[in-house]
Amino acid sequence: MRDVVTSALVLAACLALPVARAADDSRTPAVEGVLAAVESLRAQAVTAGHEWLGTRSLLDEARAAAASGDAARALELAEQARRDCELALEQARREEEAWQGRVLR
Amino acid sequence: MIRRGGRRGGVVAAGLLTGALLGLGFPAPARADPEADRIGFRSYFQQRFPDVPAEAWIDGMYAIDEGARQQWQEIEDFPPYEFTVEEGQALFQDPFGDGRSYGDCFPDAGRGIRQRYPRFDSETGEVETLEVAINGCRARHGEPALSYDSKEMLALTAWIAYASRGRPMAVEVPDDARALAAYEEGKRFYYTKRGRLDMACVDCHGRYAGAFIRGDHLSASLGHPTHFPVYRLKLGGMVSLHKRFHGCIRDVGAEPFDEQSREFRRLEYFLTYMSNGLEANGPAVRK
Ligand code: HEC
Repeated sequence: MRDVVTSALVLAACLALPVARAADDSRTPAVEGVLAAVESLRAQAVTAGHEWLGTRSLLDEARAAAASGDAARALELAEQARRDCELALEQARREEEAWQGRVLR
Repeated sequence: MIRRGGRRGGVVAAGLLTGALLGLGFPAPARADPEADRIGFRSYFQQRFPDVPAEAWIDGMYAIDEGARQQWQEIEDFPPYEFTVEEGQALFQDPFGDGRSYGDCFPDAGRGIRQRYPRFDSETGEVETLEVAINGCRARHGEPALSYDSKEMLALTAWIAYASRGRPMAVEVPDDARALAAYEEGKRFYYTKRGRLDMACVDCHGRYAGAFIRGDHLSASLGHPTHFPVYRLKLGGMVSLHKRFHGCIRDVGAEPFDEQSREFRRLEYFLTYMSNGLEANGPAVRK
């Protein structure tokens, strides 16, 4: 069951990746799209119980930058948030099994 | 992967027996076994700190820090939570709008009950902490819920803890797949690394217990849930166990869960079970 959930999370993370990466592309997609993709990655980290501290505020700042018309800054912050989420999800995936090796006995 | 609930009894027993007979590293049984966990948990600290009896861990870091212990003992002689305890007793006896009081929800006028919490509520299928039980009582008598970090909630839990001092912690995980699953989730939470620092509770309060970190000795998790709520000198006020969970999770760079969230209730369930047999000794004073 958990394996299925994890696979779904990983798949979703992979799908979201190119969207965020496209930020570096010449044909920069709408900042909104990037923000939405990162927000959905964050939601997955929350569902996994592994959201990192500060990711929310990075995204809030990115939204504020976008709202003030500073697309470059918004994308930069969104990229940081995306990295956070990916590392958090990777941690969640690894911990699926890894925790069992730490049980005190 | 641990599979929760489900198969038990005969099959597992037979498997264990076979494993034992063969003397092989037979894989751990697939179902949660809180009592085996508790024995293992306790013996880990006993092996690492042979001079510290398990009972001493209810005093947290003061079990191992002789210098700090003396200072702390002096503070405990005139405890700063005394007024809070009195306030809690008065609140406990105060009638609700319908003329009833907490005594109608809790047995023995609230004395000697702390050690049984958290408990598994077979009606809701959820872990019920003392705080949740207090709000449940209020709801049944038409009173609004208390916020978990309110003065009233902390005073009530402080008094109930005080009136239960000396009772051995006696949390039960009934033979109900939902209870075992809740316990197992709490256990998993405790051992899971989180946040930017990639650390688990067990890293600091298990493997590194006794180590010196930012001016403090790290206490063992054994005995943590016995003494809450706690008066923190640093904050000049009472804090709940979940407030401590919250702070430690933030400190590893993870987004914390709310007080009384499902995650924290389950974590408390597991941790308190690990301290079964140790004396309830709340409230207490900490730095
Ligand atoms: C990076 C190290 C670290 C991690 C990881 C950590 N803590 Fe702590 N914790 C501390 C320190 C430092 C203190 C204060 C000194 C002490 O009492 O151990 C503390 C105190 C506590 C206390 C209060 C102890 C008392 O005697 O009243 C509790 C309860 C607690 N931690 C629970 C947890 C739980 C549960 C987790 C996992 C979610 C956790 N901690 C993770 C460092 C950590």
